[in-house]
Amino acid sequence: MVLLQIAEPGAVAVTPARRKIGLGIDLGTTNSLVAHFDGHDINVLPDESGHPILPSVVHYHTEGVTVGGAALAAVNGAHHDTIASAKRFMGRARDDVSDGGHLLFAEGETLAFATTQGPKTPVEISAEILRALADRARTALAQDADGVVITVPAYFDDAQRQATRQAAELAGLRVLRLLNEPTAAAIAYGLDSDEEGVIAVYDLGGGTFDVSILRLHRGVFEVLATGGDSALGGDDFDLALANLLQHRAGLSQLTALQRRQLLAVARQAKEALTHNETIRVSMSTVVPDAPTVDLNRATFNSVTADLVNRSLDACRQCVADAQVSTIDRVVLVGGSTRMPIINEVVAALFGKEPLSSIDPDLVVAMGAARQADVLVGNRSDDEMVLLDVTPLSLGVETYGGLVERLVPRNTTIPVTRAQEFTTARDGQTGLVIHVVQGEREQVVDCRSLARFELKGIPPMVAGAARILVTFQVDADGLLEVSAREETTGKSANVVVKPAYGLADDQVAEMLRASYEHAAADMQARQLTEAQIDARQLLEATTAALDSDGDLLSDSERAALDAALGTLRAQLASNDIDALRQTFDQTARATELFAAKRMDRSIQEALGGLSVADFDEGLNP
Amino acid sequence: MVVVKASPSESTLAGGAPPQRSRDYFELFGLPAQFPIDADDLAVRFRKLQIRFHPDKFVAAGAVEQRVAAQISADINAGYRVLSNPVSRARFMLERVGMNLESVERQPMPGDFLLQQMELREAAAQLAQGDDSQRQTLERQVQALYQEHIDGFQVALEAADFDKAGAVWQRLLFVDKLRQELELSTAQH
Repeated sequence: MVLLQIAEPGAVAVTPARRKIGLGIDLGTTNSLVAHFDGHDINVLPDESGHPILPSVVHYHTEGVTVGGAALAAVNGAHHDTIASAKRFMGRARDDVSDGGHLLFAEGETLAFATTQGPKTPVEISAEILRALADRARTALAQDADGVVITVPAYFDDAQRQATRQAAELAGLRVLRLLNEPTAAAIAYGLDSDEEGVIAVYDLGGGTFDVSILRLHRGVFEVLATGGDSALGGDDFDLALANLLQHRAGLSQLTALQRRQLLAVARQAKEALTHNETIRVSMSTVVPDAPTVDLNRATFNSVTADLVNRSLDACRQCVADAQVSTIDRVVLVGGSTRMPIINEVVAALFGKEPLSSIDPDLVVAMGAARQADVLVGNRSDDEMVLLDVTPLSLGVETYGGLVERLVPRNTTIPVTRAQEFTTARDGQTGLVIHVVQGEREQVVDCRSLARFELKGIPPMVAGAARILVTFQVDADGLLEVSAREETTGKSANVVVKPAYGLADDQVAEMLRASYEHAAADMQARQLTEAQIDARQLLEATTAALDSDGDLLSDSERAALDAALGTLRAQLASNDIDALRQTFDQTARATELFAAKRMDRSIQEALGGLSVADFDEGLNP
Repeated sequence: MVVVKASPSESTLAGGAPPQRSRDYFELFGLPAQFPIDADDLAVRFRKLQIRFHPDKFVAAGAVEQRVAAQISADINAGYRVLSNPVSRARFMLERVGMNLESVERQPMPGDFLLQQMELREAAAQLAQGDDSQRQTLERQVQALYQEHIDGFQVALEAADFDKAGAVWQRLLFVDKLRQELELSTAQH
């Protein structure tokens, strides 16, 4: 773990001993990239042969694991062991997916692919890609990363975000933030030009489509609305074109391998049509004697028109949600936006010629690198902040299978929203809280995130119990739900975290396995980390008491001093569990003080605004 | 698959509900508790506060500070949303002076108001495709009604007549719903 300096913005300015390394990672469906901001330039880090793009392909073989171009080259061999587009399966349960394409699902409830090295989940496959990118950065920068920002499609649901975080954890990376891809692109453009106004970002990647509308104002990036389709991307254009080619050439009954080769031909044809109005497509790599097919751009556009229209519908909805009258700039992101039709329809829809001055394949990683540099602590005084939103509404199931929304889509995060519910029949002592995500009225049409039971409600007449359900969405867009019965002194509280693919203990187990030879080292390291945490808490709290000690009453001060004393005494001990426990207790004891200090700094934050309003509002 | 962790509410540092303190959003934004609000000024205050308290500013801080700041940041977002919209701002002002809104919402409404609402809803339902002049007339009518209730609420509030303010707010909810539905149908039209 990295040693962190405790720096409260605005309070104590701590100068970092060295520039910290924050990486921006674009973990894409077809391609992945890593970028670094060195204080002057954003560099997309290339591999040894100078290629910035790492194909998101992982090949499992008897000697180990290969990632990227080399894995892609192995596709024509043992193709079940070569997994591409794993991102499409992130956060999905086995029941959610009917078809693994050419891939074989492993037996069992968890969605995993059967490989030479045993079952591999999408999370593990993504972790391999992240590891490869981290290795690349380590070679390029001769240092380990202090933290990373990983981009996700804005339209990713909670389970998909959780899965992405798990993949990073498995790869041993410290995630500073999950950042929405269109937002990352807007940062890259926004900081470049220093302009203000409303930006629409149209992001068509390999497997996902996002649209976001943001307002830039004095360093504040405010996402007004976001929308999209987490199952629409360039891959679907390849598929539509492959089907056309197969039909035109009269090819029937292709093997899985031939099908795959046909998709590769379709992809090349799609790319060729970007620069040519008409092309001649040879399918001899698929079937040696297959006839060539003549293809023009208009035909391609007509077989993909439904896909394009799906993206435009999402754009229209997003504009309506954002409630803006004008859009100042339109940005194209993702390699799939190179298709000429995309530029045309997007320009027509928004009435603005789209910008693509930054390479649409690189722009997301570049924006993420910039944000990683801020979050890792290289610019703590930065007057920039990013306000993102929830892409999908969150709610609970109520009587009759209907959804009661607690957090509507496009709510600025972080958000805490609570609502009271009650019991339906006399003497009811438990109830099931079913958490769902989606825009439809019926639970069956939404995505089920979690289901838990609140037990131990004292028996009462129907409608008398007051159960407060609280939804919290953090800045990564991750959800926590808790429920509490409020009428009696007794309270029950449940915290739910949806975990598709891998349970937390499975992740822990995998991490342990990777460190198995270093168990003793691990223990020593954990103790050192716990001691560092404790010292930091002591130092930070002592410094805070010097400046803001007046906020506490004598008895509050005495209680806090006692807690600090206990922790200080515990520092000398080698008992890691006791130290952790004391640390937790002490940290809790500082909570009231921290809250009071924050309240005081609210006043500072508003500084410069009219003092009259200020006095009236803030003084009791 | 779902992992459920049950724990007493104060047991863990990382999980569990944060300490629930209801905030006075006017105080949070450093504003006098008045119904009229300058939307631009509110937006400036919102941004200044988030620049200070957003979780991105506490990535390197301790867990306690992170949690306290995240709650303030969530409060800032909630406060901005509540104060930005006149209908939710009106609701918040009634709650702030201790009105029981559940009982306000259960009060019988004047017959002539309900009749007028029914007529307006009927007119909205019957708007034909492409009849823009009728649509605009109806929109203007509903907008005027909305403004009338906003003004009425402010007058009642200034006179500290909270029962009356509550009654106006109850009607305002109906008018606002109609207004939104009309906007939506115009957008789809």
